Order: sequence, then structure tokens, then C-alpha cells
Amino acid sequence: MEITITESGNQIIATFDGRLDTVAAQQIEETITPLLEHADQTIILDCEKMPFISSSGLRIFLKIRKEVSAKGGKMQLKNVCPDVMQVFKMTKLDGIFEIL
Amino acid sequence: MKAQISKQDFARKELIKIFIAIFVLLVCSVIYYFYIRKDALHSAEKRAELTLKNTERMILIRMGKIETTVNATRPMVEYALDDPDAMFDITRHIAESSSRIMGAGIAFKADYYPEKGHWYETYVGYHYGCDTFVSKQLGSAKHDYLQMDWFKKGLMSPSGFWSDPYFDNAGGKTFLVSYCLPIHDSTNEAVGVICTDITLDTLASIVKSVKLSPRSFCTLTSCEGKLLVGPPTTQKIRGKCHVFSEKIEGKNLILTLTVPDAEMYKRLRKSSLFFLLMALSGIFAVLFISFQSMQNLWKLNEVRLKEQHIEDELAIARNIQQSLLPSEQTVKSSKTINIKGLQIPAKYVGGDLFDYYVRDNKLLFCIGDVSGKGVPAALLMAISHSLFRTISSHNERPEIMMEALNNAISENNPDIMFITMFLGIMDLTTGTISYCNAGHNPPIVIKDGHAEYLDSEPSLLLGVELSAKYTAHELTLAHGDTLFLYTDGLTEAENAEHETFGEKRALETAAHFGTLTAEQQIEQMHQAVDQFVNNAEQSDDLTMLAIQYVHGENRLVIENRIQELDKLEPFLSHFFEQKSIDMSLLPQLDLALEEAVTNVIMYAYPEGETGTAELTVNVNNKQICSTLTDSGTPFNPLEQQEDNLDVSLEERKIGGLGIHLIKEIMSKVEYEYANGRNVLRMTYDV
Repeated sequence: MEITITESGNQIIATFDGRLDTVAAQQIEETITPLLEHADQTIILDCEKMPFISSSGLRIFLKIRKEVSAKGGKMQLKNVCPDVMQVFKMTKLDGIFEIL
Repeated sequence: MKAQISKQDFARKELIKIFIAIFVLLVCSVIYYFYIRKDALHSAEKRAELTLKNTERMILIRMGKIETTVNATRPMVEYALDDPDAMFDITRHIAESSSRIMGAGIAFKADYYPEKGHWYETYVGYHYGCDTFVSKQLGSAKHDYLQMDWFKKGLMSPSGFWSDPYFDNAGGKTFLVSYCLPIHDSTNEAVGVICTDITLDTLASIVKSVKLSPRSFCTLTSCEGKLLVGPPTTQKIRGKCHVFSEKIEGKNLILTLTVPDAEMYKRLRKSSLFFLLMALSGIFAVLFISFQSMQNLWKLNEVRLKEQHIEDELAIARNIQQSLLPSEQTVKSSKTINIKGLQIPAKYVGGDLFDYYVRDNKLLFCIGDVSGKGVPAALLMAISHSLFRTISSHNERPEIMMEALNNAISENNPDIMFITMFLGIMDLTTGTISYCNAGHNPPIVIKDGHAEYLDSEPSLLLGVELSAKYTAHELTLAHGDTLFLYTDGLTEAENAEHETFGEKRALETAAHFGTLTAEQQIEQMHQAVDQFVNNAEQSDDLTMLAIQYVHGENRLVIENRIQELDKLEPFLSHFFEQKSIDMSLLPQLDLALEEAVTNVIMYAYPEGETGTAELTVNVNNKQICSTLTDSGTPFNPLEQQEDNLDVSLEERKIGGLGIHLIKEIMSKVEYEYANGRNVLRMTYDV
């Protein structure tokens, strides 16, 4: 799992490349720190190249979401693949996450 | 380092024992000495008393003879009372009847024979001057016997008696004693007294003859204390003496025996000395024997110490040999095999060997049995072990390895020791084993619960012929199959009746293995042979090695590390591919199983403890059934508080989310705790 973080205007775009499974979630724990630092802005999580997410992966998203809510920013998800979307639905997170 | 008994310590211990023995001997001797001493004193006194009694008896006999003689004469006197002159003849008869008699007289009451005058005493006495008996009438005013005690007492006495001893001033100048006997007339009136004088010299010879010991002596005294027969004039008495005395009844005499103390217990002293000598020689004998046996014991002890030393070394050798054996840990990373080996040497060290290790996704293994037992076999075993390691490290073919091993062993084998060996290389991906058997017992192959001996032509033993050729064969194990190797210590294990366990029993036992793991198989076989052998002594080294292939397309073993999760997706993907399952179902199943496995990795085992989770997946036309088991703490994930998805995000607990996902994806989820394992069964509808 690789995460690429780019800034474009007042938006932060994080591109997820690979499976966000339990192992990956543990690995990127540190990588997402910059995102949390910019939680007052709009953070876009690009999930185009992320075919899989586990509950640990969801936890990462929820962590960012929590930080954003606290600091007055925004978290948006885009290019969510059907399998991941399915997981969001199963966990009712599809209603919570702002999915573009 | 084992503590050793020093020679000094040993000698000290032995000396203490010897001193105790001598002490006991001394105590016994002293007790015995005092016991016999008491006895000896008593018997010495008894002896003295007995001597005295004997002497008294002899005196009584001698005096009794006089009495008898005189008593026999009395009727004659009484008969001849009418004839006073006849009395002379009778008197002479008495006087001459015994040489002991110095004189005899018959005295009559005053005026008994008026014609004879006032006094009448016929007397016949020994005349020292002319050495003959002289008769005379003794009674006169000068010799007024009527006033004498003996006469007066004689008339009064009913029977005869002895006078007190008296000194004869007249003739003999010696002590005399008289026997007085009254004479009665027909009216039984005492009319006179017969008086017979005997010299005490006659008793003196008896008294003087008494000799209890060289310096002991006997004396005779009167009741008034007059010394009648004294000790020899040369006799000098010094020091302590023991005096025994006896009154001679009716004779007014006292017999005294004097024994110097030194002589009284002379016998006791003698026996004491003898006893002391005996005790001393006993002690010397004890000392001699003790020192002899101490030397022997010391030698024995040295031998024992040497034996102990050898045993210690053998114990070390055993440890070294055991350390040569491979550990299951070395192949743990290869998840496609279960392997377990066991070796029990009959002696400290054995000639059996087995070894295995993984190289390039291949398991290299061997089992062997060196001819003979004990240290020589163990040495060759160690050599063979290192040869196997060296040769197998750069070879791919078992027959080549076997040839190299054979050449190395045959080259320098003066004692013609040989080895049987089964050597194999297993491809961990395919389960194919390429093997070579150098005269070793055929292993058992267990497939689908069916056990049979591996049927292949064996090659020549190792170490017999240089440059011998070896042939390899192939065998492929499927999931769950086992190759069970052993040495003849198994099949030739004997019970007390000398029956062997045999190949048939071994095969029967293997046939009941069912779905047991390699470790359980070894355990079961060991139990079976143990039960058969019972308490009989193990005669040969026992070695077993079970290799179970578990690389199923449907089975995955995962350690409790998060990184291990990376194995899950490729495993499932492979499984889907093999079973031609719709790939679009993969992500969902992957997610559910990952959540389940994560749960085990995170929570089943206490922190720091390693453990595994085993996942099996099966498919039929409707369902994919997966079973996840672990031997961790009993824990039912389904009872975990499920996440309330409606509560605010911040309050959500993540663990519950995983369980929720599993339940959401799987059509059926069941948990049970059985045989010490957590079992989670998950069914997915296709």
C-alpha cells in the first residue's frame, strides 16, 4: 500500500494505491499524519487504485474523519470501487462518508 | 563438576568405623571380664571351703576309727567287771589296737574294787624311752583322777566324748586329746571311764598335707584358741590373706585355712591375662582385616569413581548426540509440512541418526542405523550426520548423495561398520519425494488413512563397497499424507517373552493414525511399542521420523503475526483458481476471512506467545465452507458486543466492526471450543 499526498489549491489529495488490509493499515498509521495536520482543509481520498479495505482500513478513514470534524475541515472519497463500496454499505458508512 | 571423595575423607570414614568396632569389642571384653571375675572369685572361695570340708572329714574319719575301736572294747570291759585284773589285758588291747593311740586307761569309781584300794586305774602307755608299752596302775593320791574333769564328765556323759586337747608334759611332750567312754554295770550305772589318748601328730599330718596353693596353710586350734597344729615354721605371711575356718563338731577343734590373696585368685589372674591376650589379638585381627578391606574398598572406590567419570562423559556425549538432532523449529517456516522426529538410545549414546532441513523450498531428510551399538556406533553416526549435511548442501539428487556418502564411509572403514540409510528430497510445493534407500527398513506411507510399506527395491548398505551405485525412486504425497520412517529399533523391539513388535504391528498402528498430525503419530506409535515392550529392557536404539505433507490447496497455517496476513489473499486466490470459483466473490470472502484471522492473531494468544491459526476452505456447488481453528485462549468472537452502527462515529469500537463484517458477508457463522481449540465455521453462499 502506497499513499501519495498532493496539495492542489486548498485541497489535499491522498491517493491510495493497493489493498488497505490489516497489514497495510498498520503500515500507513504514520503516513497519514500529514493529512491529520491539514484537517481544517478539504481532504480528498482517491480510492481508484484501492481494491480492498478491511475493518482496520476503515478505522484509518474514520480516524481522519474524526480529526476533520473536529477541526472544521472536510473529507471526501472519490473513485470508490464497487467492492469497497459494498463494504461501506455493509457497515452503513456509506451514509456517513461523503462519497463523490 | 562432580564432587569426588578424597583419599583422606575415605580413610577417615573407614577409621571411624574401625574405631567403633574396636570400642565395641573393648566394651564387650570388659563386661565379659567382670562377669567371669565374679564367677572366678566365687569358685575360688568355694574351692577353699571345699578343701576345708574335706580336711574336716578326714580328721573325723581318723578320730572316728579311734572311737570305733574303743566303743568295740566297752562290752568286753563291762563283761569283765568282776575281774579287776583282766582290765590290764583289755587296756593293753585298746592301746595296741592303733598306732595312733599313745596310751589307754580304764578308771573306776572310788572304792569300786575295795581290794584294789581307793583308786583303780589300769593304764597302758607308750614309753618313749624303751619304745614299748608299759602297764601300770595309775590311780593314787598323787594322781587323783577322781578329781579330774575327764573322769567326772565321763561318769555323767551318756556316751563317748573327746576332751579338750592338752599338752603332755609327762612323756611325749606333745599335744594329746583323749576319747572318754563311760562304763556301765548291769544296773546301767556308770562305774568307770575308758580313756584313750591319741597324739595330735596323727591329725597334724592331715592338716599339714592341705595345700590349696604353694603358700597356703592349714592350722588346727582348740576351742580355747590353743594352736595345736601350726603353720610350718618357715612359713612367712605377708600382705593380705583370706582365712576360712570350720569348727569340727563335737571335737572341740577348729580348722583354719589361710590363703594369701595373691594365690587365692591366681587362677583368675591367669585367666585375666589370657583373656587380655585374646582381646588384644582380637583387636589386632580387627585392625588387620579392616586395613586390608579398607585398601580393597579404596580400590573399589577408585574403580567406581572411574566408572562415574565414564558415565559423566557418556552423559555429555548423549547430550552432544541429542544436540545433533534437528529441531522442528528449523522447518517451521515451511508451512507445507508437519514433521516430527524421536530418538531414544538404548545405551547412553546410540547409533541411530535422523536429520532434516529445508533448502530452496526442498526438505532434505535422512534416517539411518549404524551397525553395532554404544560409542563406536555413535562416533560413526556423528560422522555420517556431518557427511549428510555436507554432501546434501550442494547436491540435488538422492542417488548422487548416497554414492558420495558411501564412498566417504567405505574409503576408510577398517572395522567394516556399515550403515542402513533412507535419504530423500521433498519438493515442498508439489509434495514429490525423490528418495534412495540403502538397505534401510522400508518406511510406511499413510495415504487417506490407509497405511502400507513403501515398496521399492533397496540399494546396497553404506560402507560395504566403494563406488557402489545407488538408484533413486519417486513418491508423491498429497495433502495429509505421511511418510513414516523408523529404524529396526521399532520393529525389533522385544517384550519380556522375546517377541518382537514386528512390521505387522507397526503397520496396524499406522493404519489407525487417521487424521493425526505427525507429532501425534509419533506419540501413538511410541505408546504402542511401549505398551508392547512393557517393562522389558530396551535392546536397541529407537528412532522414528514422521513427515506429513499438508500443503493443501485448501489449508493454510498462519502464525500470530500481522505480516502473516499477507499469505491469505494469495492462498484464497490460488484456491479460487484451482476450484474455478467466480473471482468476483474473492474480495468479499477475503475480507471476512481476514477479519476472522486478524481476530485470532490479535487476541487468541497472550502477548509474546507464538501460536498458529489454521484455515481450511472447502467448496461445493452452493457453498464455500471455511473453518478457522487455533489453540489459544477459549474465546467466542460471536459473543462480542456487536457494533451499534447507528451510534456516532466517535463512539464506535473497531473490533466489533470486523465481526459485523464477517456476519454480514457469511451466510452462517458458528463457534465451538473443542479438543482444546477454538473452531470458527463460516459458510459463504455462492
